[in-house]
Amino acid sequence: MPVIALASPKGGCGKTTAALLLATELAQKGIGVTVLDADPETYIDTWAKLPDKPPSLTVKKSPTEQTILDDIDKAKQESPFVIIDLEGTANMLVAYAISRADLVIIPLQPSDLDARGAAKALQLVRQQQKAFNRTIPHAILFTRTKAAIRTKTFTHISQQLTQNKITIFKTHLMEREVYRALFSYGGCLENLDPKDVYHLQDAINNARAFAGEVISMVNSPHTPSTRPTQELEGVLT
Amino acid sequence: MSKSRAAIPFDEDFSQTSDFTKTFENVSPQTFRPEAVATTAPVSVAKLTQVAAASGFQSREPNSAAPHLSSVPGEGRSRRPRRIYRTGRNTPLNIKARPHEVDKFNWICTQKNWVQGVTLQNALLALEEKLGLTYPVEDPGPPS
Repeated sequence: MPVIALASPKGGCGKTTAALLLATELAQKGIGVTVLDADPETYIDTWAKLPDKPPSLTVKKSPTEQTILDDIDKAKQESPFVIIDLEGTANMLVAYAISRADLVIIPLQPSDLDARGAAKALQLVRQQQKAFNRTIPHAILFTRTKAAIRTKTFTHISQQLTQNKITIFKTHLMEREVYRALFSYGGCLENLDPKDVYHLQDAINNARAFAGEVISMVNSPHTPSTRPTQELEGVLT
Repeated sequence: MSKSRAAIPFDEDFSQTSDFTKTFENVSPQTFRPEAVATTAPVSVAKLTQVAAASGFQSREPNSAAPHLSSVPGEGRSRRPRRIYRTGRNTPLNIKARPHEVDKFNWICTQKNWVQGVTLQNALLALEEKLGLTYPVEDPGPPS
C-alpha cells in the first residue's frame, strides 16, 4: 500500500501541515496510518503527544539515513498508509524517501521561493525516474492559498506548471487558522470545538477533499505525472 | 508582490473538490491493508547518492552514520592498526650517582646506540656473568 512522501527543500511550504491533515483524516476513518516524522523539529511527534490522537495512527520520529529504508519497509507491513514528513532541506533523507515512494507530494505556497524549491524536488524525482527506470507518481500541492485572492505570482506559477505538464492537485490547502490550531489542540479536525476555531466545517471539507484526491491518485491505474517532468529550474522566475 | 488582485475563478478545477470529498467519504477502511512483504525493489544506494548529489541533495549526517557510501573493500579511509613496540620497561629507577658515572653511562648508550634501559639491562647481565651470580627469578621479557 502507498508510501507517500511530502518533499520540498524549501522550509515552511506546508509539508508538515499537509502530512498531518492527510494522516488524521485517513486515521479518523479507521484507516491505518504510520507517519515517519523525518523532520528534526519533530512537529508531528510533538502533536502526537497531545490528546485525541486517533488509535489507528502511529507516529515514529527521527529516522536516519541509515534506518529510513528499513523504517519505511517495516511501516508498510504495519499500516496501509505510510506518510513521510521530510525536513525542508536538500538532504539525502529526501532522496531515500522518494526512492521508496508511491506518491510524492510537493507542497508549494504561491511564491517564487517555494516554486524554486519545488523545482529542485521535481528535478530529483525526474532524475530518480531516469536512473532507476521507475515511475514515481508526483504532484504539486498548492498550500496556504487565499480563498478570495489570486496573486500574479500564483497565476504565473500555475501557468508554468501547466505548460510543463506537471500534475497539480485540484484541491488546494487553503490558508486556515484551523490547521494551525490542530498543532495546539491535538487530535483531528473533527475533535475541534467550533467555538474555538472559525470555519471548521470548511476546513474539514478542504482536508477531506485533499485526502480524497490522494486516495484517487494512489488508486488510479494512471497515476499522475507518469510522463517525464520538464526541467523547471530557471523557468519559474 | 502583485498589485492587482483577482478572485480565484471557481471553475471546473475547484468544483471537483467536492467530488474528492465524496471519494473520501465513500472509501472503506477495509480497502487498504498493510503489505505482507515489502514490494518496492531496493535501489543501489551508491547510485542513489550520485543521483541525489546531481540534484543538489546531499547527506547532512556524519560519514560514520552512512557506511553504505563505500561498500567496496579498500575504498575510503580505514583505521590503521596501532604499531606499538612494548618493552615492559615501565618502572622508574631513581638513583644518585657521581657525575662521572652518569657521563660514562650515557657515553656507553651513545656508543652502542642503546636507550638507557637497554644499557642497564646489558650491564646487569655482564655483572651477573662477571660475578658468577644468577638472579633466581626468570626475566619475563617484553609483554606480548
